[in-house]
Amino acid sequence: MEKENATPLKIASKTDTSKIYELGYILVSSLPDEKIVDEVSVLKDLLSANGGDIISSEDPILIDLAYPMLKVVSAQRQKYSRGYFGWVKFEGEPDSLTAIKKVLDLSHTMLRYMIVKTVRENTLLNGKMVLRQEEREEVALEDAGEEAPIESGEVLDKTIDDLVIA
Amino acid sequence: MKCYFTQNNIVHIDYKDVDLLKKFLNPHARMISRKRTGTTAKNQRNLAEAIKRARVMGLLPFVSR
Repeated sequence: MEKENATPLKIASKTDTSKIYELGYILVSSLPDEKIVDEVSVLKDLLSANGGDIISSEDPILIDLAYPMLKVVSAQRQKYSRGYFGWVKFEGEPDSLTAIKKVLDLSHTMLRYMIVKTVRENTLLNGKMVLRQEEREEVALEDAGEEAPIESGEVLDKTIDDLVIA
Repeated sequence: MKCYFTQNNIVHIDYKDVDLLKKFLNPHARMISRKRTGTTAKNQRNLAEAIKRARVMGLLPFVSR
């Protein structure tokens, strides 16, 4: 890393210093469903306002948290056992992250968030999150269907013959 | 016993792949050692990071039972 203190040139497109990040977040479950869309657009605006280019994202879904989380809002301690989990992948300057974090820390609707370094390509196995119980069962069924042995014509004929004889 | 990630060509272990990560946890939600799973050292490091991230985000428990 070069140690130059010259002010970084703000170029809208990708620069040498820009990196790929992913913002994973949990919104409080007390939000009504219709308000989630607004929250997401506020988040994305915040990222683009700080020089981030949004690459991909997934809208928040209501999930059961693995353990209850606490959030203090106006000196009131709130306990949440569910939350809307979503993520946004973006490209941005490392310097801009502190500004983003400052805003997110003050948010009343953000239960928890995490910014991690990642790659541009999709890293999820199924192409999307599988977090809800019903979705898990669906995926399990699909997998089972693929793994079911398909007998070839000859073998099938043989088994039918055996059955007929029996 | 071979590494699950090498066999399945998984280069990036995502903390949101909860079902994948759960395969490497015991009933108490502790990580299973690579001695038992056969994961390569590099993949085990990345796996451990992914599991810890998932725990912080409430996708996986810290303790169970």
